[in-house]
Amino acid sequence: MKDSFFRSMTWLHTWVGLLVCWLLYLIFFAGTLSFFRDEITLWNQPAIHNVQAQTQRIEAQKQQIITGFDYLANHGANSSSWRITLPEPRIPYLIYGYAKPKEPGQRRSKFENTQLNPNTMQELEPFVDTKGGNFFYRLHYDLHYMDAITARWIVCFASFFMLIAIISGVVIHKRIFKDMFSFRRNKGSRTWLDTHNLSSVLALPFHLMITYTGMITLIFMLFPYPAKVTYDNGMRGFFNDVTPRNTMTDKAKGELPMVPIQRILDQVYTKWPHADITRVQVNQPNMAASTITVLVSAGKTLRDQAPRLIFSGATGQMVAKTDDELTSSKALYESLNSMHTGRLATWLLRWLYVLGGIAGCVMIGSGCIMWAKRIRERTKNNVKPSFGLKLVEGLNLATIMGLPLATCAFFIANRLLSPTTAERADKEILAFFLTWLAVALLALIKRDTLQWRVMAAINAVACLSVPVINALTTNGNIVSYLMHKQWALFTFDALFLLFSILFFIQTEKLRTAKSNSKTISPSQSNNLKRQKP
Amino acid sequence: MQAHPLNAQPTKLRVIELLSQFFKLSPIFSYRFSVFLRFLIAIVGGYSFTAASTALLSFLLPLTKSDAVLLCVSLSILIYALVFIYAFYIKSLKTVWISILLTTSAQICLLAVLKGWL
Repeated sequence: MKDSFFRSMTWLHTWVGLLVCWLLYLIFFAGTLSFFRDEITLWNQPAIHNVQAQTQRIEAQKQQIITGFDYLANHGANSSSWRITLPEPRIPYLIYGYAKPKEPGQRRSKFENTQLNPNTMQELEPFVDTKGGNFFYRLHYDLHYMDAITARWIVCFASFFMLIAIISGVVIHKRIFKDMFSFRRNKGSRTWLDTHNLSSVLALPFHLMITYTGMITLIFMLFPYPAKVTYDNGMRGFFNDVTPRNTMTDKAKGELPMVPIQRILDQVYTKWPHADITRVQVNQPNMAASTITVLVSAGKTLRDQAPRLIFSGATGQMVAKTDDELTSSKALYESLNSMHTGRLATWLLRWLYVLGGIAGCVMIGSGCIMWAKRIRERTKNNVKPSFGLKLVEGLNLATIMGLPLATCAFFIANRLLSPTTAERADKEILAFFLTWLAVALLALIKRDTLQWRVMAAINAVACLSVPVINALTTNGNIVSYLMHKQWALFTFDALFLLFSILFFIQTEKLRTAKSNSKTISPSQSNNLKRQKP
Repeated sequence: MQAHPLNAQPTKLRVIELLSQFFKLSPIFSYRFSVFLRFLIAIVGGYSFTAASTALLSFLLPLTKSDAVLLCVSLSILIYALVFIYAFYIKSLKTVWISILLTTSAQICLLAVLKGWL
């Protein structure tokens, strides 16, 4: 029984893993980049490169909000909604925005935003149209060019298989450990096995946590049944119960001027003397039913929903708020969510998240390469490789080499596209997917060591070109970032240089790889044999 | 009149015989089919089991409504994963199918009785 349990788990691990590994690689890749979402957006937006971080950020917030209300009262008096987004440690600029009238066919009205330098209160240069880090953030769970809900179901399915692969992997690992000492395999796939084990075991708590909590972030789509059964009006009833909302003045009709914002801020600071306000939102300004929502940063607490106070704009009275103390269930749910998003992470923890994500990519990548290598080793030289093997090898090359190259293309497109290009943000994304498609097409033709080498070399050049093109097209470069202590931008460029070096090393490694390597297609290795004396 | 049951019996037997022969003749197909059935019960059965058990649990737990829901959804993936592993842990495919179908329908029935859906 025990033996068959191990065997069934080994089987499960292999096939469940193989089925979804390429999609998982994409999810891990985009998810890892999403931990640097704000930094990527910063890099993509040269207009904010020279905005210095404020020295007295929290102290300046009160005045910024008061100024914002004056600005919005002048510019967006007839708008349905106002939004003041304050600078955060990783987002250095200030936004005053008001909703434009909804155009027919739009689900939500678009915002007219004014971005300001918080130090000088001067308007920043016009922003270029780019999705920045949000592209990778959405790609992580919404994929692209498809319906978001369908994509989320697919992503959840893959994540669940990932969880199963992790659990079964833990079960079989003991045996693999024994196997490694009891008999020696051919070095080729053994090395990959070691890589796979190392990257899995080192970051195992991270892998388990990130996979489980990832599904929890979409849990009300996956399992709406508890809420549907418990509440009479289903999901709506549940969400109304857990989100603070205005039930006191929302039925009020007619216009009514708002109380001075000062009176509302006084209440906020009485409640939270050291409040780090992130956003102030006004719905239906100057109406009797108007609400002013003040959101503060959750800081380092394990809370994903930002603590907030909601006031009636007409009376200045507080009408709703988030719970000060969370019940155990809420704390469990909120902590699971906040562990996944890592919004609480400061620099050290953020880097640990990223390293965990990279370990995840290595784990998935080495797993799918190992499968192909093993089958290759078992296939005799005179036997034609099966369609399945060729497919796996092609997908391996297309995913592992294609994604970094596509990412480079995304950033290069960001710098090379003219700021006036129509639908510029979409074209950056198009560059990403076209590059990936090109790599996939090349992988269709050949998947041997030479092809991997060519891809590694192209990646090395592409990674190198990102900081170079940045230096040529913007005012800053990696040296000036270092001199002016612009750490986010410096790290961004430095990472690309680092990856460029790593890809060069890979190119060299693949050149010196043994010529009898099993990745060479049989026809080629036959040729090699014939050439040998 | 007498010929009817006699005729029916062999036809029935022959269908079973043919089916079993088909499976014996093509062990690959039979293996693939059993793998498919196992994945089917693990994915769909596991999902239904989790949906039923979390719904029932959130209804039964002596907590406030929102707490019960949040606790149950937080546990749901754990339950689903356990059922999934169970479906591959038990050797007999028949046992897996019967146990998951029975427990799921029992929970749905209990929930239906409690909610007064019947």
